[in-house]
Amino acid sequence: MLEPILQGLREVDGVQGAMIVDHSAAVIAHRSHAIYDLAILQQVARSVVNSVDSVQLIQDDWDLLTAHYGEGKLLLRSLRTTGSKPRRYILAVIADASLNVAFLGVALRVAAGKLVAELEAGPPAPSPMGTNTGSLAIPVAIASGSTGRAVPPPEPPRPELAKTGLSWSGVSSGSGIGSSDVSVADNASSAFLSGCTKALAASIGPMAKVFVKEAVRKVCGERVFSRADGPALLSHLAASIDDPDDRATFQRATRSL
Amino acid sequence: MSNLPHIAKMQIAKFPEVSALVVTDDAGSLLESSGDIDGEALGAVHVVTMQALSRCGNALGLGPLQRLTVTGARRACLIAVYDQEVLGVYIDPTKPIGAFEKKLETALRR
Repeated sequence: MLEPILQGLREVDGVQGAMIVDHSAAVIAHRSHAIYDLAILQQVARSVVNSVDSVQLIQDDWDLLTAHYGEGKLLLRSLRTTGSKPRRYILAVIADASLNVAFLGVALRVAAGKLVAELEAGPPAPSPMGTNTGSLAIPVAIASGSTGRAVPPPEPPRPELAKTGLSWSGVSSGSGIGSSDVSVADNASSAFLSGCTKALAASIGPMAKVFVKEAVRKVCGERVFSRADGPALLSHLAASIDDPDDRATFQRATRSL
Repeated sequence: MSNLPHIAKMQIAKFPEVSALVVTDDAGSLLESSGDIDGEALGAVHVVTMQALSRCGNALGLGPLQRLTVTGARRACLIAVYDQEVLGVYIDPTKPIGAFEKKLETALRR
């Protein structure tokens, strides 16, 4: 039973609600103040999964994310089950400004252990409104909509990255946080990647470079990217764009590369 | 805080616990970076993460997002919004992030 564990978190001073969200943004269980009904929690769950998908691009072993707002806090704790079918869930705790984060930290650790044990015993059914949504479960799932998702994706970020003069000169060791570990064979290959990124940024905004890098790694593996890999890369990127209009725009924009 | 990139480069990057940092504008365009990182890519991720969490805060009535911390076994990260700019700092995960937050606040208040 997940709810009693969430209720335990609710008893910490300042905590206004707690919920468990799965990778598809379905609310698995929740206990919250009456003002946070399931519709609101479902809306929040989608943004929670989107934010976690982004964070995982830079820190796949994240354990705790604490967001500080003007009038409260939102804490996200990663819950990973083990066994033959490992699954990931997110425990989200909503708190007002009176929360003592240190106190909650202790309660969170205890609750997380119990929740993982419960979740490992068997995946619970989502709450009635819990539906799959436009989450980026796979980093290169660029746009949503291909899985019959009921809720439209959030507005894409503004495509400002296209103006930043991208460079792909990175031939670093690949160590360090988010290192530029895409190696290119020559200037033409670098220009090609910049063109791809700009074209993609028109659809998805500043995350374009991240997705292009992911795609290069998938197409080339450890190999240096060269212009000859261009068609495969374009095909891979285009296949990752679910929205047909966005895909067509991307293909038009990259035709001259 | 138009001098955030300068403060980031001249002061924050020199804190012993800081391994890397990135400053972008609120659209993800890179303004400053330091350390062995891809500043453009990370800056974009920071902005997208902040946007998603801002939507959470709006839905929950928690007010504007000020900062977030991400901790894990291998690294810890603090991302904060200052006016129209976003600062992302990567620190040694063995150091207490709460203490670093206070240190950062002091540096930016000067």
